[in-house]
Amino acid sequence: MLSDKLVIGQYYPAKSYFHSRDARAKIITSVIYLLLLFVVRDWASYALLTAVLLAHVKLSSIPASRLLSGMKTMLIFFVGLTALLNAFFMEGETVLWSWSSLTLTLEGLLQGLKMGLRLLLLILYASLLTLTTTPIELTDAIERLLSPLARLGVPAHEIAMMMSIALRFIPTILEEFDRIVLAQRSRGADIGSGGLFKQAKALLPLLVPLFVAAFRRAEELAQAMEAKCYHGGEGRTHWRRSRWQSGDTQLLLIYLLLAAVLVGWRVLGGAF
Amino acid sequence: MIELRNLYYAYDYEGENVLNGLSLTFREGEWTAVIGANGSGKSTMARHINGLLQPDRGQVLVDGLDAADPQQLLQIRERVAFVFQNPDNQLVATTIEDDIAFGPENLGLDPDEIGRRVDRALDITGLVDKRSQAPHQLSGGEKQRVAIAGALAMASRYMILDEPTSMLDPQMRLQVIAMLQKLHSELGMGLIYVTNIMEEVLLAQRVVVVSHGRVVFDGTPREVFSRVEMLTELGLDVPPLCRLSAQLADAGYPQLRGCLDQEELYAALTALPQAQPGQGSTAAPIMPAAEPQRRPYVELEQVAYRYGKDAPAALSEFDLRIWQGQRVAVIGHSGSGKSTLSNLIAGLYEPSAGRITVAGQEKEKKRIFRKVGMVFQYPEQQLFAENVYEEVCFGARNAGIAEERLPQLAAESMHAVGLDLEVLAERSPFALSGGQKRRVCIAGVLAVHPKVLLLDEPTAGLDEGGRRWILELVRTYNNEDNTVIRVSHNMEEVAELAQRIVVLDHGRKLLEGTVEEVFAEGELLQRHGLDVPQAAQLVRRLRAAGYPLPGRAVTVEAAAAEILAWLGGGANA
Repeated sequence: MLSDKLVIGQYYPAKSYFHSRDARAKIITSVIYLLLLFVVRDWASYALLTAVLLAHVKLSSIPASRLLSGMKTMLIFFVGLTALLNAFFMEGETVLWSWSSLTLTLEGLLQGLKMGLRLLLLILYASLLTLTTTPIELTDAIERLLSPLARLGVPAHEIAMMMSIALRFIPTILEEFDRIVLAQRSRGADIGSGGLFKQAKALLPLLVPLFVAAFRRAEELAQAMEAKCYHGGEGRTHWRRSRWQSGDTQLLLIYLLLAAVLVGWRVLGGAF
Repeated sequence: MIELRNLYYAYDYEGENVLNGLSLTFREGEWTAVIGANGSGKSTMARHINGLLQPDRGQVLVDGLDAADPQQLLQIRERVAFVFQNPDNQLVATTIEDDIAFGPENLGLDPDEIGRRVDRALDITGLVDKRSQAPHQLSGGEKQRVAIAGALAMASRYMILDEPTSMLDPQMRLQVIAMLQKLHSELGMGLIYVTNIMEEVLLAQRVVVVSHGRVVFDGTPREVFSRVEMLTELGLDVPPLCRLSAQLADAGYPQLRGCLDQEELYAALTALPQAQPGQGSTAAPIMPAAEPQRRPYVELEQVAYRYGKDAPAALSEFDLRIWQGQRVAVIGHSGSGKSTLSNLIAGLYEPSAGRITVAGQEKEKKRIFRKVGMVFQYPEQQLFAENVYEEVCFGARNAGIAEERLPQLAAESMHAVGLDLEVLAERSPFALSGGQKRRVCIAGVLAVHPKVLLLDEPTAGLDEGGRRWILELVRTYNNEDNTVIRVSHNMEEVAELAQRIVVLDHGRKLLEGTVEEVFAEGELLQRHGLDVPQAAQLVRRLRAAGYPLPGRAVTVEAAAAEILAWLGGGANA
């Protein structure tokens, strides 16, 4: 069932170095890390970023099995596909193997491995962020990071509230989707067979009730929020707002240092 | 004090008035039940109290604050909390504790004070160990308790509850009710309790009956339920023992009039001069019914089902045989496996172990819906077609029934559910009333002419009129050929309708037999959190106390007959 499969990156409660970091620090360092992934070119830099990820896992007290659970197929599929595509479609000089128009070169193979590794690091790092940070912390941090932009008209509070509600309702709506699929199958709806047009048509009995229900939920939820005195972000306090600690500054400095090293290395045309 | 003064309200300009000059006062610390048929305006009234709706005419005052003034409205909402019907659609945050904190955060309270209020609300509602869970991990009853906890954290003086238990099973319902009793008696919270469930009304100090947007009665539960005729006319139910009390009184025992519950009626009955304890039983032992000679139409042998490889069994070692023409009820509370069972019978799930045959054939999953027509819980949530005709024909078309036969099938099945296809064919199903939507859904299932009609909680959310109609439909559809299987947790309805009952508990069969056989095991049922119908409890209690009556009845009518025969016999002796 659909609702069982989406456990990727769901918050893993634990006490660890990364769990206790301020979510704002975690978001900023994540952005730095992801940008660096696209800056680096050579194996030495990749090795360094891999080491950072491993250190991150270690300091998160998240068992490797939990980190990988639910995403095995996705990892194999995406990472494998990226690696293969790159390996076969890169031009290169050292031909390793060829069959009609398909040619595998050493350069292509290495490039494919790098691309695969890049994607792997990206997925793992992003899920580490959500595994160590509760949705509330995450959305609150986004609100606070965006708040300087509020003066420019960016609806920081609304964006954060919308994200938080989306996160709250994803499991509920997935459950609902499972129920609708069952109900329409009991009416003989043929789901997942036939040509493209037929399949698209077969989706109507699923999507219409799903949207109708989502609108009804939105309406009722809006009433429930109003009934609890919600009137936008103004004058609203936050129960458990994290405080920026010296550890967060340290973490940020480490990442800035890392960025300086890797960017410098790239600019200086690092070897390997 | 909450004052509603002469309220008028219509949902749209041309529409009929939903509130028609409604005036009402709620006092502090009072538990008021508000009842009325679907569409009577009771929920609309409730939404006016805290300004979710503003009246077209009239005034709403809460402790002197005017709900029309946006400045005072926030203060009103702080004083008057609102708990909605659907447990899923009123929780905002991703964890329970953060959801409870949501209201106080909106009030702009100091974080330490919010923390204290959250802790206290969790403590009172008994949710401390669930505090960091996500809403979707909770049962419906727990979600409603979270909603109540959220109201507590607002430190409200009044709480409006709009049919808060209508989507819950009896066990969860009792949990929520127990919670409310505590709030009322220990914290002095004023409750405005909108409901369709008459047993719950008995807990209130005062009952208000709403019809066509006006208050038509205002009094104590005893006063209301002694007016059986008025309630029936308004399409409202009467608690079973009130009905029994009225029937006995009408049959010549006026001393029995006006009893509200089992205790009262028992006391009144045993105080009658005719009520002499006799020499124990006059009842013959219940003979187990013989199984029909034919082959069963639906047969499950040692069936098991798991929702995932490592998931616990939702159903295990399950045997069941159902013959053509039977009326079978499947009962059990949430999580007992009754929905799993019905999905297996309808061919929607593949058993993890064991064998299921329908009409002698084992494997025919895709076409099975032609034989087993399933009406899901809240079927109106599956509507999707552009008009009623297409909606009704969807299943029949999928079943491969020839296009030229569809108009007639659609017309017949619409007629069977009491609707006219000619009038509604072109209408959008979404534009129908709630009750009509449900009828259209059922018509769509009937159009396929299934031999087995499987209904999952078909009366959920309906008022007494809607319930009666469903019961009648089931009775008519059932004949020599057509089997009806009903999944339910409502014992009173099951008692009225089923010939055979299958009781599920933790994925296993707890009991199976005729209605009499099953309800004879009252203690076992109660140990597993299932009730026995009120009337059945009463006659069994009388019999256990040594009064000479058979103690077999399960419905109010049968109980009345048993008691009258006993009292009549006693008078002659």
